[in-house]
Amino acid sequence: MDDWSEQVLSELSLSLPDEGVEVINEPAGKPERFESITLAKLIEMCLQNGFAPVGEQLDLSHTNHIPYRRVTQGSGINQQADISDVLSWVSPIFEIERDQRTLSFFREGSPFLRSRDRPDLLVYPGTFEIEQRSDPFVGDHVVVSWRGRSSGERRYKRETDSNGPIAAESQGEPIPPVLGMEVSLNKSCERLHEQIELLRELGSDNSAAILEHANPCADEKLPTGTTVFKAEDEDEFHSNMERIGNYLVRGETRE
Amino acid sequence: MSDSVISGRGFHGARGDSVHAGDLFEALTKACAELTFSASEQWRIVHQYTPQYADADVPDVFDLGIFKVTDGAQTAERALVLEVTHWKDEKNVSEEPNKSYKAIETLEEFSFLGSRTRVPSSTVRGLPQETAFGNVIFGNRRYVRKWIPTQYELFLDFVSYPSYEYSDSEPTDPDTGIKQALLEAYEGFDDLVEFVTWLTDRLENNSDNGIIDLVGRRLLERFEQFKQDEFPLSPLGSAEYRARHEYRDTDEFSSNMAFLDDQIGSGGVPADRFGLKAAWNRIGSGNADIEQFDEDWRPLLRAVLNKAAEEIPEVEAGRDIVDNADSVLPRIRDLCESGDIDGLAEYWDHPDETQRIAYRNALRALYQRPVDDFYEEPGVTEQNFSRKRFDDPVTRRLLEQITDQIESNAGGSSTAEWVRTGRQLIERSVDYQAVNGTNSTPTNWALSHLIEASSLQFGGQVDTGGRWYSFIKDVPYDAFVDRLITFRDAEDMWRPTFAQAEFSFEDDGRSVYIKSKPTKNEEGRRAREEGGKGWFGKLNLPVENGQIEPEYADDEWWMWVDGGWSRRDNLERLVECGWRVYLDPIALVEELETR
Repeated sequence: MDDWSEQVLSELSLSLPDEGVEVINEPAGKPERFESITLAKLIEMCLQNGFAPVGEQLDLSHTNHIPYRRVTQGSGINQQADISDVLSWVSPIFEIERDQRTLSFFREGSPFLRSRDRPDLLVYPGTFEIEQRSDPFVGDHVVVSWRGRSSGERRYKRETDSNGPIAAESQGEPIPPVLGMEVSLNKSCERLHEQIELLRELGSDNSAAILEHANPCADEKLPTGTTVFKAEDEDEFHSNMERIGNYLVRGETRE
Repeated sequence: MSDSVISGRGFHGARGDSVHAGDLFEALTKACAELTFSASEQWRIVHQYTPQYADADVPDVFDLGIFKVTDGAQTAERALVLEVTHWKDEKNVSEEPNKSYKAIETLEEFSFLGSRTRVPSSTVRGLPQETAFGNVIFGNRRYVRKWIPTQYELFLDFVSYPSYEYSDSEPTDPDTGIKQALLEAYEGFDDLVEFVTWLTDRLENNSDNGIIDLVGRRLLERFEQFKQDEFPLSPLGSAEYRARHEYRDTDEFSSNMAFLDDQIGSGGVPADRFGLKAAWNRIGSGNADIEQFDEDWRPLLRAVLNKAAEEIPEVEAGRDIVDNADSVLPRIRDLCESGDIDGLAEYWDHPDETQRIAYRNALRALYQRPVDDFYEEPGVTEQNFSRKRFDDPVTRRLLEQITDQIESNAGGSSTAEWVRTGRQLIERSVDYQAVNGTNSTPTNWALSHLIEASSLQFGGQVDTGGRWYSFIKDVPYDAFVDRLITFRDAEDMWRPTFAQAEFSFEDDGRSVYIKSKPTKNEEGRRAREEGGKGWFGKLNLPVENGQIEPEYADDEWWMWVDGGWSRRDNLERLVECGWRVYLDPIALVEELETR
C-alpha cells in the first residue's frame, strides 16, 4: 500500500500546480500521507470542476490540531499560547470557491472544536475570516468569524485551559460541516464509531472513509448516513475518492 | 446545531478530558449573564477576564467580565467583574478552615483592581470608575469560616447565593444536587461554549424544573435586580479601595518601596539571589552539601540543619529505621504474612510518640497506596493519622488493610529484594518529610536562629507567634447590617479568625509582625494571599462625623521573601499591601535590633 500512496502523492504534487496550487511540506509518515492524499485529491477534483483556489499553497504540514495543555490545578493561572499559534489553530488550511460559494478545509480540528478529539478532515461550506485583535476587555486575541448557512464569531484568547484556547466571547451558531472524514489506518472500531458519532453531532452530512483493507470496521455496520469505503489499492482509492469528491462538486452544500 | 449535540451519547467520557466542576458553575453563571445582559443591548460577556493595568503587569484572572460597551468604544459604560465560587454542595457541612486563603486572595484581587478603578481616574484599560465587583457562590455558605460570607457581603457590590431561596429570615438550608446535575448534563458535551448555549436555551425556554433551572432562575433574578438598580456599589468597598489608593501616597509606602528598590538594585530579585529553602531542599535530598554553597551562607545553613534535627525528631527516628532495615523489614513482612495484627500494632501504637510517628510513616511508605480512604474511619483525620492512638476496632481495620497490601507488595520477592525495596521506600518518605513536610520550615528556623544569635532575646521584646485579624477589624459593622445576608448576629458574623506571624516584636505598644515566605512557581498566588493578610490587618475603616475615614494601623508587617520570587510586580504588590519586604533575613534581624 505504501508504494501506491507515495506514488499518488507525487502525482498530486505534480498535477495540482496546473490548477494553480503548489504543494509544500509533503509528510513522511504513513498516516499523515494518507490524510494528505485524501485531502489533496478532494481539492484537485474540486479545482478540476469549476472551483478556484483562494490561496496558492497547500501546506500539508498545517493542521488545526490544538495541543493539549493541562492547567495547573489550583494555580489559578492558565497557560499562555503564542498568538501566532492561536491564529494557526483556527485558520482553514485551504479554501476554494465557485460562484461566490466557498469551501473551507480544516484538518484535525476546527474553530468549533477545542478538545483533542477531532475528525481528520472537515469541510465547511462558508467563509472563515481570521483576525488578530486587541481590546481592553479581551486583550490580545484572535477573532474567528464565519459566514455560511449561519454567521457568528468567536474570540479566542491566548490563555488556554485543558481544552485549548479559551473562547472569551461567542456569538451565533456554529455551521455544520458539509463533509467530515476519518482516514483510519488502525483505529479501533470503537474509536471509529465515536468519531462518526461526533461527525453526526456536528451536523455533518458526513462520509467516513476507511482506507485500509484490513481494518475490521470496514465490514461492520456503521451508523446510517455513513459511507464506508475500502481502499485496497490505488484504483479503489481513486474510485472511492471520486464518489466523495462528486458529492462536493455537485454543490450539495447548504450554504 | 444539531439536536444530537444536545442530547449527547455518553461517548465523550472516553476522551479523557475531564472537566472541572468549577468550569460548569462558571458556564451556568455565564448563561445567566448572557440572558440578562444581552448582546442586543450592547453587553459583552468575557469568560476569564484579565484586567489590563496601566501601572502593573500582574496576571490576575477573574471568572467573568460583564461590560456594556457601545460599538468601538474603548471604555465600558458599565462593568461588573465577577468571581464564581462553589462551596460544598451538601445540606450538612462543617466549617472548613482551609478555604480562608482563597477568600483572602479573592478579596485582595478586588482590592488591587478597585484601588485602580474606583478612584478619580481609572488606570485599568476599559473599566469605568463605577465598575462593580461581585461573587456568585454556589453550595452551602456554612462550609467556610463565618467571616468570609460576612466580608464578601459587606465589601463586594454583588453577592449571590443561588443555591438558596432568598428571604429576610434566618438562613435556610441550601438546595443541593446542582453540582451532580451539571456534571451529568455536561456528559453530552465536549466544549463549554456549546454547554453555555445549551444552558442559555434551557433557561430561556423555562420549561424544566430541575435543580439547574431552580438555581439558574434565582441567579437570573439577582442579575436582573442588580441591572435594574443600576449597579449599586458597596460604600465599604468604595472606602477600602480609596484607602488603598491613598496608601500609595503615604510616606510609609514610599519608604518601603524605596527600600525594595534599593535591595533589587544592589542584588537582584530573590530568584537571582541565594535561596535558603532551595539550598535546604538540595541538601535534604542528597544533591548537595553545605560546602558547595557560598561561604557567607554556610553558618546559617548549618544552624538550620541543627534546628531541623531538633524540630522534626521523627525524621531522625525514620533514619534509624532505614539504618536497621535488615532486621526491621523482615520482621514487618513476617507479621503481615501471618496476619499478626497485634504484633504489628506494637509498632503502630509505639508508646514513644516520635517512634510511633516514624513507624507509621514507614508502614505507610510500605503500603504504597493513597491513604485517603483511611480518613473516612471515625476519629481519623489527615492531621492526626500519623500520631493519634485510635479506638481498637479502627486500628484493627486500618492494620488489616495495611497488612494485606504489604503482603501483596512483598509477594514473591526474596528477603534481600524486599529489604532493598522497603529501605528505598522508607528512605524516600523520610527525605520527603525532612524537606517537604509541614513541619519543615527552614526559613522560619533561619530567622529563629538569627534572632537567637542577635542582641534580641526571645521572651523579651521579641517572641514567637503573634496574630492579627483576618479581616478589617475596625469597621462600624452595625451601620451596614442591611447588607448582610448570611449572618446578622454580631457573634455569628465573625467568629474571629486570625492571620499568624512567625515572630512578633513589641515596641511601645506597637507590634511588628514578622513572616518568612519562600515560594517556588507560586509567587503570584503568594503575593495575593500574603498581601491580603497584611492589607486587611493594616487597614481600619472607622466612621468619623458620619464619614468612613480610613486609618492605617501603626503596627508593621515585615516579610523575608526567599526563593523563586522573580517578578518585581509581585513584591511591589506586597509593599502596597503594607508589607516591608526584605530580600535578606540578616538585614531583617539587624534592622529589628536597631529599632
